[in-house]
Amino acid sequence: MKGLLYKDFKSILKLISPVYLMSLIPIIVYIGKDMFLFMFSIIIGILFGMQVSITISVDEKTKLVNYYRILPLSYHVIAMEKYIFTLIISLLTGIIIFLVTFSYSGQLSLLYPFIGFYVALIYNMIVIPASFYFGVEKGRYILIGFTILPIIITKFNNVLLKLYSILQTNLIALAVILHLIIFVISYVISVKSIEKYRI
Amino acid sequence: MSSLFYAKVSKRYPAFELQPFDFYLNECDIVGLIGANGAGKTTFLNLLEGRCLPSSGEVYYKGRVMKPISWKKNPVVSFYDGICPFCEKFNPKDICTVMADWYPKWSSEQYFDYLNFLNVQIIAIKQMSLGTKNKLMLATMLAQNPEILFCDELTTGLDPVAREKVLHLLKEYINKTHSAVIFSTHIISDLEKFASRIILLDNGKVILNTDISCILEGNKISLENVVYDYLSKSTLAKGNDNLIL
Repeated sequence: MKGLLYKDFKSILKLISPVYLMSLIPIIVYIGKDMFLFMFSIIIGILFGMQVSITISVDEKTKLVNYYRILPLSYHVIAMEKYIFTLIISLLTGIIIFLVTFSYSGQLSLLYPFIGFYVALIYNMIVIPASFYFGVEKGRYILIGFTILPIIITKFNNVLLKLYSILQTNLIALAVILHLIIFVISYVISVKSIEKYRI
Repeated sequence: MSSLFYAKVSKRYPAFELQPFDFYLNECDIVGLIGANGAGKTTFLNLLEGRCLPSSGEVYYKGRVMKPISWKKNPVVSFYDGICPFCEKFNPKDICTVMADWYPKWSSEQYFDYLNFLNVQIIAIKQMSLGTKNKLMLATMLAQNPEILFCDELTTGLDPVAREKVLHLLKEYINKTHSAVIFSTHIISDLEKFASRIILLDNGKVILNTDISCILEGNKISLENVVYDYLSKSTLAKGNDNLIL
């Protein structure tokens, strides 16, 4: 596990490119506006979250995926490492946003760090299994599919509001359970996809 | 079944078939695998390594049936398929850190000794020539302290001096550790010098599997001529078939 984490961290550090500066453009646009911290958290969350799919892409490009069958690492270890890497990256995102929020507004707010942390985390819950199953290139189409989800949800406003009034007493517990279910589904798909890698 | 490694397998693809073959490796065996491009050498090695599943048959290690998952629990095999599976900005030190965690018998000391012996500098993989990458991967394989090595075109891109050095190192390792190796190559003179046995593949079929000493004994012609002879006979036979059809 340590070797895989080292490989992934080293890969993204060595592949940092000036192209990432492009992400600063939308952030700069919002400086001084009310939405700045919110937009900053979302953009940084996605930018950091994307690093995990970059490591899967590196594994594909270097053909390490062809070695999954014969490396002395179980399929569970190979899959779990990506999720642990995601957790570390998400925590890092939260810390960076926390520091920027404090420098920008002078407030010790946890809301924006949480938004960044959550975006990086949930992004990878979708992207990791999709990348293992379809490959990184095709896996991105799945993510595009998920962007339609909020549009669909707005069609069921009335139902959701009714559900909210019934469930609001246990909302946090429900959110935790829902995310655990998402993680388990994501992890199982990833392991099954890795098992199928063969020449 | 007392061999270190034994396989009786076959593989069918829609456009290609590797016909059933018997293969064994004893301790200290150095087996050369040769054949024309597309003869099935890589498929042959992938089957033995467990990287692709056989259409029929089994692979045995010390008499026990081995599934691909078994190699994961008991990493006694090492493999090279002409690819360095690491980010091209990595250097040999990065590879050492990763491999030390993956392989229980990994020796960093031996790894750097091999790199030193093979004149591999600590630079990014991206800056290495094909031959240097091959030398790096050989050092990586040997530092895992495997019992069986599978090498696909290990000597490709090496100059004659480096090739001699690489094969000598490989032979020394095999003799010292009583392990075994099978390597594919297109350079038949290497086999004459280093291999103990030869397997000749043609169009997915093993047409020759014998000790090199048996071939050379009583024959005044070189191994290269013997191989050409076998291949031309096989090609001629195919040509005749085509004519009849």
